[in-house]
Amino acid sequence: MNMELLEQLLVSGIVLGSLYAALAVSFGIIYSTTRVFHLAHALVFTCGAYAAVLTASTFGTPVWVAMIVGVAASILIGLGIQAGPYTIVQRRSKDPINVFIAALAVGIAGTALLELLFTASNRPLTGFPEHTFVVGSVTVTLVDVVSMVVAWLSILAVGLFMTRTNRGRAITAVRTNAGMAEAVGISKKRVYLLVFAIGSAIAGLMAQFVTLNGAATPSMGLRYVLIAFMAVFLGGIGSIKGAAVGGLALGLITMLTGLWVSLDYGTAIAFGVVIVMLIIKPHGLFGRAAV
Amino acid sequence: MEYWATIGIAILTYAVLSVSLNLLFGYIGELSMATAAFFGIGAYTAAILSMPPAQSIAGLTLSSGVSGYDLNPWVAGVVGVVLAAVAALIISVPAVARVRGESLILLTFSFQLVFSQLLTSMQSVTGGDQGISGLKPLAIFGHEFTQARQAIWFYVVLLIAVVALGMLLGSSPYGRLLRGMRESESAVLSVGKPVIVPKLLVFSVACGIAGTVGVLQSNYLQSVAPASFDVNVSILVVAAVVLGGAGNIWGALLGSVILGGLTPVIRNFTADAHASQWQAIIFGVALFVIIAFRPNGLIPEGSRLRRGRRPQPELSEATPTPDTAHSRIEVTSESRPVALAVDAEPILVVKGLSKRFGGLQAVNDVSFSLPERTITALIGPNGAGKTTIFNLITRAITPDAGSVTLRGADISAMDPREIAIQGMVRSFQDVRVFQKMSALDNVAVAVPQQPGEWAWPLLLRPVSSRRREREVRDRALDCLSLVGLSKVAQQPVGSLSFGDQKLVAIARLIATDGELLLLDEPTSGVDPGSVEGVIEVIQSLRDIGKTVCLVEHSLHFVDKLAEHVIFLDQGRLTAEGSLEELTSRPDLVTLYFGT
Repeated sequence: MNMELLEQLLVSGIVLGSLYAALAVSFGIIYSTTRVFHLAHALVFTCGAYAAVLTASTFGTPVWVAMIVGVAASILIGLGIQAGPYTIVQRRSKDPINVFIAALAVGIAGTALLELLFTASNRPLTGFPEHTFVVGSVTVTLVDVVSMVVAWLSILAVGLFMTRTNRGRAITAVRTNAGMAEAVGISKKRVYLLVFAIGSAIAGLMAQFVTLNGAATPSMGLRYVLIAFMAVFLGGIGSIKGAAVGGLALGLITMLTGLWVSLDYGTAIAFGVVIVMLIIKPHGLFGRAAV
Repeated sequence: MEYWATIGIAILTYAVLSVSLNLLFGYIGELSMATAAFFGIGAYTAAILSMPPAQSIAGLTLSSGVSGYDLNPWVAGVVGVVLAAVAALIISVPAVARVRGESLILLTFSFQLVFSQLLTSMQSVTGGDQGISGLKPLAIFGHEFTQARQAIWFYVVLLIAVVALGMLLGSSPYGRLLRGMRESESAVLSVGKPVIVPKLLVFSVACGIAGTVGVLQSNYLQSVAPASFDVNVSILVVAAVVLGGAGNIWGALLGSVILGGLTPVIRNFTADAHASQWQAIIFGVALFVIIAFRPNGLIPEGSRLRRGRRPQPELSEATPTPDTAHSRIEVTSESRPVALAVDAEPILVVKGLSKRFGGLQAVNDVSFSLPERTITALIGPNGAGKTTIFNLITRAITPDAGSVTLRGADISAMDPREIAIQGMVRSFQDVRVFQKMSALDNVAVAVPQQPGEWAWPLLLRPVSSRRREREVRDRALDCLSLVGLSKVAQQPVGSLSFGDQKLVAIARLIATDGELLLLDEPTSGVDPGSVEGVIEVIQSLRDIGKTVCLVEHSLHFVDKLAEHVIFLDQGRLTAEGSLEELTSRPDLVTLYFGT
């Protein structure tokens, strides 16, 4: 086996896996708490990227200012989607599939709107220091290193928030028994908004690094969000650790595929692994069956 | 003419795809986000297999460099359809068989994405972004159909066939079973009916249909390209079904007419380059408005069209029912239970049953037996483990230890469905009737041995299936009249009172022909006026030879019904005997009522 290739792919796999892990946590916290199959998370992600690109190109701000604006835009859009369309549907119907369809509606209309406004072409985000580290045969860019660190710091922050703070425990309470949580005075509505804010912030954050490495396009979000969904199912719904490990595993599988076949097949193989895993362990790596 | 035929083909394509998705979403409530992928599998398979092998002329490779196999287009088409169906089966196995909820959405969505990615990246097989062109035209016996106004007839025939299949399914026992599953899988299993195989079958048939349109399209257009099979197409088909109304073929058709018809209209108003964006925006908004304000779609399930389609006058008139005055069953003056027949053969023997949930020993080494043709009550304070015992002996939950024997046969290793078939059936505390279905259909689902609930007999032996279906309906009506509800046989169960819903659930159990009925709190939530009716019905069950075991809190109820009482406390069997014996023990009275 080609050791140099293996080392490079391992590092790239960890970089990609960290991105997936953070996105999985961002989607997982929303999904496990609200049971909303939040497909429009893709739109939240994309809007964060566009907001940064537009801020940088229109006002000529430093790239880090643009990135902060991007994250803020993601939070606002995420909150808006929950407070607006989702709440309207949730108020009228308990069936989660109806909220999913609302998410689908918001997702396709929003993406098409972005295409009309900005065309389908690539919009890069520039100005981030370009630096490459070379260790032995492995190269890794500064963007990748920062993205990896930010990803794991956000995951850690969410984990601590959920276990160490009252608001975090309120989220767990609503997730495990919404009725009982409301009975002891926890506002379900506020908790929902809180998880949408946290999830959207992480999605917006990671969107910045994806854009720095490539470019913003109107349909960029869907792929990442679906992989995050898969990671959540792989790790087990309701477990932050599970989502993070699931995301990391998917990133590694995707990249290590390159040892044998073209990287184009990475996602397909990762998908195959998820199918097999769901047959063997239907509740995911860290999930528990509902009693 | 040609212009309209082209629009017609677009509408018909969406129509077939929507009807196929509707089989899935409407009948079993599962949503597939990969309709376009299965559509594409059909199209690409047919294209690749029927293409001639790549030829090089003067060093230049023709036809996008894709090398085909030069198969007969019809053979290639059949392979395409089969591949689509098989792929569907593989994708859906984990979702249908093991995990519930939104996982089918996730799996199909991911599959769609992976499929689109592979279409563009497997350049040498699929022609990449350009796709494959230069296919042989659609032909029958050498007669070619290259114009839209000719090809449209193929689509019309396909749509008629698919609609006919959908209608057959909708009105058949198979469709009834599927609709039952959509509302409560555990209830379907609890009356001994299958869940997994019918679901997988519907999914692969629906996707096979999508593959068929794909085959047709690749032959008609003589080309395939990835854009026709991407995720947006899948989403638009979902939109068509939801807009029109799920569970209703006419709704799906209406949705696809709107979908296919809107595109040319949009093209008239906007620049061609923006048409698909405007289409997506209009559909997104329409989809949201519908799901928020009219979630059952423009033509909801069971609306006028449907009723007009299959009138069923024979039911209310032809079969005379014993309860014409809508009175409950006549009860003999002897309403007090007879003394326990000690030598009665035990029908069920439970030994050493235990179950621990985390730190809680919910059921602790419980052994008891149920004498045949008697009514036994499980009583005890909340949390005593009564419902858990039902769940354990019917294998809804796996026990940690213990054996269960039904009529001498060990059923400890069976699953809930097999146990129901063996003759032990249970009701649920939260009834789990099929709310959107009529009372008659609720009960008919449970009648055993219906060939029409399997796809092959339904298609291959339609006459005998139909004859049996008449018997099934008569039997279901008999069961309903046994509980005094034949008058409301045609009403959706959701519109009945809670007490009547519980009676429908009991009628459903009777229809299974099971000998041993486990009733979980048959009177909880029932208004006091109706409780007497429930008591009479349960007494009549014993009179027709059933054995009953019930979980009950009302001692009045237990006193009137049960010859045999089992007292449980904190997972242990504390006492057993007649109610009189138990209530004479002060320690039990204290346990039950508190001090």
